[in-house]
Amino acid sequence: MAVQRLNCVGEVCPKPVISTLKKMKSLAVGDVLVVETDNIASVKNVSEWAKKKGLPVQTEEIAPGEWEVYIEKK
Amino acid sequence: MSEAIMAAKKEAKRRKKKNQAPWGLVVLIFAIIVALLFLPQKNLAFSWVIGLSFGFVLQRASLCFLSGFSELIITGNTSLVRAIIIAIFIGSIGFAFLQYTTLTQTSVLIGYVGPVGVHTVVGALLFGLGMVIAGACSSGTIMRIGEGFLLQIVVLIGFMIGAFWGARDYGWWHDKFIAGAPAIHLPQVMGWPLAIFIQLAVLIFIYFALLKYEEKRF
Repeated sequence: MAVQRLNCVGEVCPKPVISTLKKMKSLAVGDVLVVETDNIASVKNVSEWAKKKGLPVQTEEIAPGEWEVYIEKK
Repeated sequence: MSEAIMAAKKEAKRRKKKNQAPWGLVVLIFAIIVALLFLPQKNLAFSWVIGLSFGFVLQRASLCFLSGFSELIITGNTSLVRAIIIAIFIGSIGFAFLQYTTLTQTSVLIGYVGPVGVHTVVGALLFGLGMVIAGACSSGTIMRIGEGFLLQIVVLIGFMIGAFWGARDYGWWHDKFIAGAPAIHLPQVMGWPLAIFIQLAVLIFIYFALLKYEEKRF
């Protein structure tokens, strides 16, 4: 299992979700992508997309106004 | 829960999280004091409370028109657009009720029934372009400033310049492009029952079409 990070801090939607979709393609099955963002709308976008795709996903607020979205590729 | 995610979380370095609850309490007390101070002017106190609650709901729901529409195209997730459709649905019923009662009692048509024309399309296109570049719609901009998203302060400055400039020259635009366009109020064209029925039927149709579209995309 490998962990890859995607830094989207300071980016506005829809950029984080576009980058996530691209990055997910390069991951191997079982890898985890961590999307770092300070945009709450992107947290929703990214995690909802993963949920609807049936991927395990978790969100954590690591600091006030900063989140990490964990997605496992299946 | 996924084991891979658990492992990835353990790996991540953690800074200490600041507790913002005391600040929240201070802001809440401040908001209540301001509301009480403006209580004699009922409209101001009411606007203050409604405005704050509106912002709170927007932030909690992270309801953003921009991400709603961009989601629709990029990922095919329609939940935000469907939320907007539901809001218009509820708003339509409430507005129809208010308009109907005030129209029959005082013969005044409340709400802004604006002229429709090419200017609507051009304006919508400009707004959409600006929204994507700025990364938020107008309510989203204000909400995100409250969240501490600094970029939006720059957007707010542009927003203010645009709004003031638009207001200054509105007369000219109105005379040249808007004055000739027809203002259509559906209930006056086809009667109240049919107008409300068509409005709600179209919204319901869009809602289910969006659901079908989402099923196809995922």
